[in-house]
Amino acid sequence: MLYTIIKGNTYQDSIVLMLLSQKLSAMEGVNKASVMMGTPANKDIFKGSGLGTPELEDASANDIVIVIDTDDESKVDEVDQEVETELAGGSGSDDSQKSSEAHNWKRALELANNPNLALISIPGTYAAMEAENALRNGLHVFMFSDNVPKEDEVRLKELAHEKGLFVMGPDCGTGIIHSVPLAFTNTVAQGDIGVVGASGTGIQEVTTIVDRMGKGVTNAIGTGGRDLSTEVGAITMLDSIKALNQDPKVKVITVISKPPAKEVQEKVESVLRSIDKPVVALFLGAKPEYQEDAIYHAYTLEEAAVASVQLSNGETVDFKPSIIEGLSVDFDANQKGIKAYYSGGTLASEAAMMIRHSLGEEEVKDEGFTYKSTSHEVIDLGDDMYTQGKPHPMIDPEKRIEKLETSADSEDTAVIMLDNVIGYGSHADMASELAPTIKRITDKAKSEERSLVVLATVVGTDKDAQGYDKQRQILEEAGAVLCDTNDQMVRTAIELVGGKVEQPILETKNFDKGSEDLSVDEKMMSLISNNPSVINIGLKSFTEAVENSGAEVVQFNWRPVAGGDEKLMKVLQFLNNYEGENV
Amino acid sequence: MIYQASAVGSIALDLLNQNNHMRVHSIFNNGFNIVNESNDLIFVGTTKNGYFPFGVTIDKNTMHYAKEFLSVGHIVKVSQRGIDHKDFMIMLNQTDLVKYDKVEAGDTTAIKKVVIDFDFEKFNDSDFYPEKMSEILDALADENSSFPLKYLVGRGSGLTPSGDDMITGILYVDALDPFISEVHKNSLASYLSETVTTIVSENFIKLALKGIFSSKITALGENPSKEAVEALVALGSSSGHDTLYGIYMTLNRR
Repeated sequence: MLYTIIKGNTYQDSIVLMLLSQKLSAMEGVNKASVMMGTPANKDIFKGSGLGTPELEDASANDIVIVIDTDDESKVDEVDQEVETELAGGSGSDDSQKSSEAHNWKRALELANNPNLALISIPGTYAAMEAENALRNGLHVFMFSDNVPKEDEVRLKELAHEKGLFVMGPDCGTGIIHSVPLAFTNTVAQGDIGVVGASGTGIQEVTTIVDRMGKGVTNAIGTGGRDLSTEVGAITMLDSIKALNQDPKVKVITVISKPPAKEVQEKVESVLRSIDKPVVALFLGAKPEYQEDAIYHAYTLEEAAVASVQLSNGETVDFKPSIIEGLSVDFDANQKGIKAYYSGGTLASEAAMMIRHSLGEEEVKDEGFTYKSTSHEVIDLGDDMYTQGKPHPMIDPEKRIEKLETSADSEDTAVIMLDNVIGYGSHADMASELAPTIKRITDKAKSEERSLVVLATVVGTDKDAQGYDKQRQILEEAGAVLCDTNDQMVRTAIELVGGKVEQPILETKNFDKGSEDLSVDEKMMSLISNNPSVINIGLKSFTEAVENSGAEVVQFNWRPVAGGDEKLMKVLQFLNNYEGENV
Repeated sequence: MIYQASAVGSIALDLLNQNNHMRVHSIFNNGFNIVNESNDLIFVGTTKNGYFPFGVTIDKNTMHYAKEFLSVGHIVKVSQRGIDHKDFMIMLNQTDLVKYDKVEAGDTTAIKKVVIDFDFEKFNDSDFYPEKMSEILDALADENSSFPLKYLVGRGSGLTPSGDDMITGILYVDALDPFISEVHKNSLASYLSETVTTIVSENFIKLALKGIFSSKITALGENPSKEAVEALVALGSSSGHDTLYGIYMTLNRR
C-alpha cells in the first residue's frame, strides 16, 4: 500500500533528502520510500518507480514529497516523525510569538514577574548600555557578552555595588544562581558548597566534579575574567564571597581565579581570612607556596573540588591525584609531543600550567597557543582568534576535527588530549561529532603499528541532557581513553611521555584573622536565596535552561534603537538617564 | 542583534533597493530565502554555497543565531542598508559588492581541456545518462524539435534539483558559444513560470537565461584551471558537480 506525505514549502539540501530516503527505506516494515521535491519531473520519477499516488498531484514544486510503500499503516506515523525530526534541522517550526516576548524595556518589565536578573548576550558594543539600563531598573546583571571595554566594566560594577547589585561578567560564560543554570552551564545537584569564579570552564569543571562526588553547588557566581584586575579590583568577587558567607546554607566557599595582581589577591585573601567558614582558594596558574588554617590553597581544579567536598563533609583535606594506569605504549624515539585541543579555556590553562611545571621544555611564545614548546602544544579553540565568524568549539566541531587530523599525522605526536564540555549551551552530541575522526586516527595509527594515545575528558553530570555516561561511552568506543577529570588527563599524558606532575608539599603559615566588613545588601542575598526572575536580552536559547529549572523568564528580543547608529544610541542613552541638576 | 554580511551579489542589492519588504520563504541549515511579491528571491547564506548573484553572504555564526529567530512567513524590511528582521539586522555597510556582468561570447577550448579530466561516471546509471543528455542537446539546436528541456527541469532532489543545475551548465556554454535555438529559450522562460521547479532553481535559471551566472561558474571561463573546476564541484552537496556535467556534455556534444 502506498502512502503520501507532503511537507508544504519545505526544503532541504539534496544530500539530506537522499540520506533520508535511504534511512526511511531501511526502516523495518517499510518496503520502499522516496523523498523528493514535488516538481513535475520528480512526480514522473515517483510514477516510474512504482510510487505514483493520486495525492502526488496536490504537491507543488516547492514542497517536499514522501511516498512510502508499506503494509503496515502505523509505519506512516513513524516515518512522519522521522521526517519531522530530520527536517527540523533546517526549516524551524513556527512557534515564534510566545506571549512572554518583549521588544523594549517597558514591555519586558511589564511582562516579567518581579524581575531581579538581566541575562545579557547582545554584542559587546551595546551590552554595556543595556546593562546600565538593567541596573537602573534594579536588576542584577549577568553579562555573557564579550568585547565590553574595561572602563565600562569598572563603571558598571561601581554603579552596581552602590545599588547593592551584582554584575556577573562581562564575558561570563557560566553561572548557577539558586540552582538555575545560566548560559553555558551544567545541571548540578544542590548543596552546601558555594562557588565564586572568574573563569567559565573552571566553574564547570569544579561544580561537575563536586556533583559526581555526590555533593552539590546551589550558587556558582561567575565574575568575568577581568574582575580581579587592578582596575576592577574584584568588586564582584568580594561581594559574592560576602553573600555566600551570609547564606546559612553554604558550608564551604570555593574561589577560582587566575593569579590576580598582588594587591587584588591581598584584598581577596583579607576578606577570606575574615570569615569563619572553611575556604578553598585556587589561583590557577601558580603553584601555591603555603597552606593556612583559614584557607586551603589548591593547585588544580580537581584538587579544589575534592578539597571542597572533603571540607563540606567535615573531613580534613587529603587530595590524592590519580592517573590512568596500565596503558601500554611503544612510542618511536621522535614521538614526544602532547597535543591538546580544548574548547574550555580554563582547562587549557590548567594543562598548560601542569606541562610547564613538569616537562621543563623551553616555552615559545606564540599567539594562538596557550602553551607551546618544541614538542608540546595546548590550544584553546574557544579563543577569539579561532572563533571569528564561527560558533564556539563547544557548539561547532569543525576546528577540532581539523586539529585532530593534522596532529595525528604529525610524526612527533604521542598523546592527543581533548575535552567535551556538555550541559546547556553546548552541542547536543559532540561525542558523536568527534568520534568518527578519533576512530579514523586511532585505527590508522594501529594499522601503521604506531602508538598514539587519544585522551578525553567529559565535563558534565548525569543530569545534563547530553548524558555524561553516554558521551563518555561514545568517545571510548571510538578509541579514546577516558579520564575522569582534566587533572587526571594531563597527569596521564605527562607520565606517558616520561614526566611526572609533582604535587606541591606545603608548610602551614599563620595569619591573623581579618577584620573586613562582611555585610552585604539584602538584594544580593535575595538573588542567591530564591529562584531568580529573569529578563533574557539576546540569545533565545538561554531561556531554555532557565525555564527547565522552574524559574521565570521573559525574552527581550533586543534590537538597537536609532537603526544601530552607535553615536546616536549613546546620545539617547545619555538623555534617558540624564537627571539634571537640582536647583 | 546586529550582524554584518560579508558580501552581496549585485542582483540581490538591486532587489534590496527596489523592495521595501520581503517575506521569509524558506530556511535551511546554511541559509534562508526571502522573496518579494513576484517571487524574486534573495538567498542569505554562508559562503559554503559560494557567492550567488542573488546572494547575501553571512558567516556561520550569524546563521547559527539568526535561525533562532527566523520563521517561514516573517516579513523583513529591506533597503540598501541591509535586511531588517524584527529581532535582528543584517547590515551591508561593510560589505563587498560582488558584481555580475553578462557573460560574453568567448572561446571554450581551454574550458573543455580542464573539464575533460574530470570523472562523470556516476551519471552513467542515473536519469541523466550520457545518451539521454546528448539527445536533449541535439534537440536544443533544432528549432523544430519539441521542447527538450522539460525532462531536465525540476528533476532530482534538493534545493536545486540536479536537472536544473545541468541546465545552468548548458546555458553557460551557450552564453560563451551560442547554439540553442531561441524558440527553446523562450519555451524555458515560459515553462518556468508554471512553478515547475523550486523557487531557488527558478531564479538561477532565469538569470542564466539573461547570461548571468554565479562566480564559481564564471571563474571557470575566466581562469580555466583544475582549481576552478574543483571549486565549482565543491559547491552545494551535488550542485557543482551537476553543473559541471552540464558544461562537459555541452562542450562534447556531437
